[in-house]
Amino acid sequence: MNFGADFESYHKRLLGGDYDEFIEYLRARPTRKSLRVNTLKSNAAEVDDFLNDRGIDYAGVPWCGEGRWVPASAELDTMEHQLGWFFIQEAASMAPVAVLDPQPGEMILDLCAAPGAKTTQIAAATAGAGAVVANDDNYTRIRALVYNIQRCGASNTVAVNRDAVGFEKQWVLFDRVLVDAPCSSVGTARKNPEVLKTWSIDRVQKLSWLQTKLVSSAFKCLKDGGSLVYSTCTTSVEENERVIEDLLSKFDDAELAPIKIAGFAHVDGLTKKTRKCVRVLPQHNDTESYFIARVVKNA
Amino acid sequence: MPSRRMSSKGLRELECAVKKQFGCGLPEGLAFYVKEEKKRLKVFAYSGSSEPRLPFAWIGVHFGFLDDGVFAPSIEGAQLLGEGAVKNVVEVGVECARKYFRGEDITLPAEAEGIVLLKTEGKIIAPAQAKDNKLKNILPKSRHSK
Repeated sequence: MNFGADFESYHKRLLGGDYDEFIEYLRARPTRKSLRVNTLKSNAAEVDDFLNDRGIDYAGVPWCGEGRWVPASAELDTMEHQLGWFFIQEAASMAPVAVLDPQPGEMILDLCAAPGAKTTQIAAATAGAGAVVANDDNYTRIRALVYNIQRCGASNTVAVNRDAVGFEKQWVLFDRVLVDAPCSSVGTARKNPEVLKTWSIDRVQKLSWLQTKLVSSAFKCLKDGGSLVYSTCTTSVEENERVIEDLLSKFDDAELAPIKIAGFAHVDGLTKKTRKCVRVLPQHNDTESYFIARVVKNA
Repeated sequence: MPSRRMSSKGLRELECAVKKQFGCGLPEGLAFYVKEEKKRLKVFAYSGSSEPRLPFAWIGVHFGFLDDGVFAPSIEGAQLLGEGAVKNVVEVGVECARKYFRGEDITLPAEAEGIVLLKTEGKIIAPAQAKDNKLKNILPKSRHSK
């Protein structure tokens, strides 16, 4: 795997002593396969029985009660998958919705929703009540989103195809908003090394500009007292800490909230103002890299 | 894009079709939306607590098609009708169900005709079409497994 000189020098400066292990995971260790029990259609006992019947060894994902790690060789393209019993979802990507903590009866917005792993996780957490608005501004990706909403039985979910930037112009306010932002996806390089070919500082900065717009729009969609979770599957400070700092500087009523997520090894955000954010490298939990921030709107 | 909430008249027609075909009422707690598609009504079931106040590309789950008084449920429509259904329910073994989900037709274990609900291991899982002593596969290809 060729990382490119810019990628290597950036990440050496960013990660310091963690760099060598980070690269070793990217180079030589494919992502562990995992699934999430979809409690709208099934339950943990039923899915565990299914895995046992098929001789699939599994282990619980510590930060998500519905998460199961399975071997890479596990054949999951089965009737049970089509019945919506589970969603094949990367384990670290289950964390943002755990942090969002949606409650039954709430109005939730998933601003960049396709293909719907987190949307359906939110719908399950709301027990099919309240309402989930799943937005994606890419119409071709809406098809994948709709397929997963249908398959998972997320009957309280509405798919919307609007610009994510400027979504506040829809004049609907939400109890909670998830922004799982488009990013340089360095965290997914273990399963998709191609993402590293497009990595550049120039691209990171362009994405950062977009992400600051997205998170500002998302914040404006919050009810007073509501909370927003911002997440990416990438490593750069520009796409993570700087986006949150920008949000905090723009909105007096925005406050960074602590994140408690049991069993999810991580380090704090890298800047003074973002210490309450969570940063995950592949070597922490043998997952993709992730960044998660939780911001509340003070009433 | 689902265009509108189902009218009272449409709802009565749907209730009537479901009662006639499956011997049960509509599942509770759902609002129904419709879109015309190839001269039949595509019906959506939505359980959200508030009606979306913004234009949407999709709402809830596709419940089924209503065509001239006959209701053909989707997979999720069949599952929502669930335990309440007492007519036109055909029980098959789990291996037959797996065969069905691979996109194949399967043997009809009992007399039936028309749209039926497939049941396996005590659960309604999908619709099928009983015809010529077979359960003909009517699952969308996107929902076939390996």
